[in-house]
Amino acid sequence: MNIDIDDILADLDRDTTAVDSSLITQGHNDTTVLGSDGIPLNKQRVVPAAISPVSDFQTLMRFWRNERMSPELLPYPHLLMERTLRRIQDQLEHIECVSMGYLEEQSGSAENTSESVGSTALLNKLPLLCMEADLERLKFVVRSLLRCRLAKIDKYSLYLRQFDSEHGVVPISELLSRQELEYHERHSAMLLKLLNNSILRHMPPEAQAVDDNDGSVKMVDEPEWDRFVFVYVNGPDTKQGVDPRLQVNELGQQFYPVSIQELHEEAELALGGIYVMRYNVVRELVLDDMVQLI
Amino acid sequence: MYGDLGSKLVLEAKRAQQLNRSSGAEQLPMFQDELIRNIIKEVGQLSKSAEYLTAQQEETGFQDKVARCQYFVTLLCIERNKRCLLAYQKLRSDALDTFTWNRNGIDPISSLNAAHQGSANLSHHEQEYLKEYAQLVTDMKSGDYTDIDLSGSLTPPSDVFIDVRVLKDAGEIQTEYGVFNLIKDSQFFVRQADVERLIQQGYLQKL
Amino acid sequence: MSLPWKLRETFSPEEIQFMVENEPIKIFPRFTTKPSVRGAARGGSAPSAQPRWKLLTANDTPLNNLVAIQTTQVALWIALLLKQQGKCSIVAPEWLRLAQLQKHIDYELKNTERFSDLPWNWLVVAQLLFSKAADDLHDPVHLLRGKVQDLREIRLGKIGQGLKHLNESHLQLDNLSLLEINELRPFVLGVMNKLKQVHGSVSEDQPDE
Repeated sequence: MNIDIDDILADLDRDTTAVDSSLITQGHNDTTVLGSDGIPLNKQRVVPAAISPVSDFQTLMRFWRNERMSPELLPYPHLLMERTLRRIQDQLEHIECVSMGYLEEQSGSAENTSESVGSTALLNKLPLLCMEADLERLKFVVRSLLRCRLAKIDKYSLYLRQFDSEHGVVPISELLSRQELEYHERHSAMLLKLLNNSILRHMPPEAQAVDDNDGSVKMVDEPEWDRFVFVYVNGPDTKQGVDPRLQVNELGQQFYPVSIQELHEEAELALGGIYVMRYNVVRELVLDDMVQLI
Repeated sequence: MYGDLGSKLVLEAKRAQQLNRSSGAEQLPMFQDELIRNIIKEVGQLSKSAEYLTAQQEETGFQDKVARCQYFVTLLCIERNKRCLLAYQKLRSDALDTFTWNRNGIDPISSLNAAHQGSANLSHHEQEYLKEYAQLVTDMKSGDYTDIDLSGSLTPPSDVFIDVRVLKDAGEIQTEYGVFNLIKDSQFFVRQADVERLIQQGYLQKL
Repeated sequence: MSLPWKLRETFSPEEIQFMVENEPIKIFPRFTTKPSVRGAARGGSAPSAQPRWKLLTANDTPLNNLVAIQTTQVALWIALLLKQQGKCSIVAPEWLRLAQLQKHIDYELKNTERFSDLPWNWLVVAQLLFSKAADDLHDPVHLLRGKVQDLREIRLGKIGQGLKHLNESHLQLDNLSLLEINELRPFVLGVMNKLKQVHGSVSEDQPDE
């Protein structure tokens, strides 16, 4: 399998950059074609982005870990998820085909119900066993990721309702998948209905709001931006070149200079290092994939 | 004292949450209908006295510091009661959400009844909410996310396939890997999910 | 909630194991899948009918080109599955030897302020191989177990000593493994978040000293 690293990177870029939805829905086979307009990319060329399943899985694993550990909801990786879900579907069909073939083979050989599975039979079966286990593993990560996101969508329900007017990196239609958006709207509507019926409508008129931030305590939960997180500094992909933000300290180590604003402190994040940091200090580096949450 | 009932309600909610977390049970105690009505009544009284205090202040031209302070504290009491009520209801709806996911989103009302506690512990509005949320989860599970079984296990898959020994004759079982004739003391390598029930029933033993 | 509270803001030990299982490890396969030269010639330049192994989460190329007794690299979970079926033996990593582990122990004892550079997945790999591939290890498993346990305890002790450095700013913890981090996480983050709060409320009271 030939994989051009540039293609992978180009597609990764595309995943995390604003992409219009017409581009998102187009990729229905393995060779997605990069749209040449409207994409803020330095590599504006048409390439067949043959991204291998394995490299997508690695990206997915990293995203899953980041999502699980970050206080905020990260932008939904539309293209990555679309490819992954399609592969799962294809693989389900493939496994079914293979196991049908396997059954036929077995009924032909007439010793299928023998008490112990013979060595050859096992060898024939192994790829199938592995493929099933492999599929289960992928399904698990996708499931766990989506469930984690739904929990965050619920937690920040009110915050997301006023999200558009806030300082979001992306509009809410990109932050969430179509299904997540629907979940968010329907769930918050039914929750508000419940709160209204059992409590709010019995309150005096001036105290009926559920998103009142003027009182003594804010009612809208925001992500805890300065919560501490464990990070690993992976730095730029070596093939992608150098990150201009990197500096070199007196020990010859490359590092990202960061500042902890609340304390008026500066700190160094050396490549390959593990740190406990406030999320808002490393947020941009996380979104750019230079640092990962662990 | 104003606020006492609210505290009682919140403590009750907190206790229920901790109980569920420590025991892993999914108990939702009786909806505190009466307590809630009393708190709402208290809010009504507070609201009236706030109105009275406003009127009084208008008469004195907002000069009376004590009255202003009194007014402010009254508003805080209303706010506090409201937040206690909301927190209580929110914790309960969160528990209902968890319950729905754990039940695969399938008919949570009847599983509640089956869990020996009945839906009688829920308020009318909560029952309605539970039904709606179960529908939402069912809808989320279909469509683009059908293949991944969204309400499935959140424990990573390990040992998708296992070796089993047959403890009692169980006849033939059909799996994707062909027919297995389960004769006592024979051994097989099978998908765990396929034989989970046979293991539970004591026909097979995991090796 | 759609995510159990136990999984919020941390990973379960099973999830850490899952991550580690995706890492590559060397094996000696006991069977061959590489198509014979004749077969390949028949297929010509076009890819032959259907590769027998087609995986989504791991590289399947080595699996379609296995030659018995020739080492190759596969994901750890595949290695364990093949091992379970008696179809391969696992090449235990170099650091998982008595002598190597002893070196790490010596380093840990000598350098009280830092951790030796064990791989980020050392503890999980060791535990998995001990339980599922004990006969493939370089040294007797009970001795290795003892060394790993010693190493773990020394590092835990050091972590305990290091807790006094917890602060409201930040912390550097190089060479800690994923499992160790995950075990530390609730405590370290809890304390540091609290310290941050305390610090925040103090500086609010005294905006400028």
